Amino acid sequence: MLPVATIVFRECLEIALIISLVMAATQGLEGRLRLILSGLGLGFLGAAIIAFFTDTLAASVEGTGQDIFNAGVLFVAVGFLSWTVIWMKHHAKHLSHRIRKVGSEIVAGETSHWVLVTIVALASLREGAEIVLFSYGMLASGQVTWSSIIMGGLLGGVGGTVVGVMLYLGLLRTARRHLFSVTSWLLVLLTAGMAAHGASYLIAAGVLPDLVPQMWDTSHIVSSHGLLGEILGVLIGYTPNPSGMEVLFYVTVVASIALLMYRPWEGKGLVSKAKPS
Amino acid sequence: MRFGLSCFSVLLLAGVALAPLAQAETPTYTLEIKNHTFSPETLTVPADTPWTLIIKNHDKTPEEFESETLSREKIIPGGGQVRVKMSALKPGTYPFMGEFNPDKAKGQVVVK
Repeated sequence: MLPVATIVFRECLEIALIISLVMAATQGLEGRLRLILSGLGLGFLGAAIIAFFTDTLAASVEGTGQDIFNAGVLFVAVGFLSWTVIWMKHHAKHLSHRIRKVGSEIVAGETSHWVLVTIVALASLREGAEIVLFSYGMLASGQVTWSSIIMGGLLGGVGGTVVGVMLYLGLLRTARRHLFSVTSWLLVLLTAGMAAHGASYLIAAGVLPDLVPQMWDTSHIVSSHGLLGEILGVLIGYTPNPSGMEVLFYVTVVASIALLMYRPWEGKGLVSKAKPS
Repeated sequence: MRFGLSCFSVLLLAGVALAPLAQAETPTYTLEIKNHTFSPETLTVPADTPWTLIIKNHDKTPEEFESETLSREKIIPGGGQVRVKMSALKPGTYPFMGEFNPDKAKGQVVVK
């Protein structure tokens, strides 16, 4: 039961953290819980399908199909998340001086509903597939019974969700005044981390060169296997020993989103006025 | 968004263009999984050379090859075979494990 719980916890943690950030960013969006649940449902459905076809997927492109597929999923999520963050910021800018008080809430309320569903679905797709594969493996090898899979799954799922809810409540409490900018920036870092992760899949597939095998190594300070490493890994894309290409992707994404959020070419006056309160 | 997307496309195109470079003939090493254990458990590879790892899974159940120090993660379906491009490494010992059977499936890459 415990190994199941551990794996499910790790995978759920990632899904839960992404959802809690999206929840914090979409304060006041009507029916967002329903949207997020739809996204989760779609994601897990997709995960089951992927898990079912995993043999075909893994064997494709000379045994690198899975990496290329994972990179694709991540890059699509990066696209949607970037669009959301930039869109939110841009609309806050135009609205904020008119409706300063409720600005961010209204802005978030206008975000296309299906974008939210897609982000959540993509986030749960990869992790969900891993949970399914692992559970299947444990069952097939007779190491565990159905009941312990279900118990372990519940335990891990609840654990992951608790950490996500804690982040959500923590964000609401500590960043109340700057909730909008804090969550925006957290989403930017999360997005950049996803892009770097996608790049690492393409490196493992031999599609992208690593440029520099290892830029630094901080695994003795924060291991990616510890709870802190896991959480930082999802939130800011922490990896203890990234390659040059991963760092390049990370920096490029942060810089491009920041540029499109603040649009320095549109004049300084507008930008300072646009600061979310 | 459009700008960001074009940035990605440029990066991706650059990557695809550079891919033949990364694909240049590299030494290949094979790991086999049987009864949830790796064989060989110690794989010796040359230092400062990119290499390719082939993992064959003879078990009926999937396994996930994982190594923090090698910074690679890869699922190998039951009865399947996958290929992983590895970076040039400095001399040392790099442990790896099978995440789905962490007690039994352990091994290390020794770089000389």
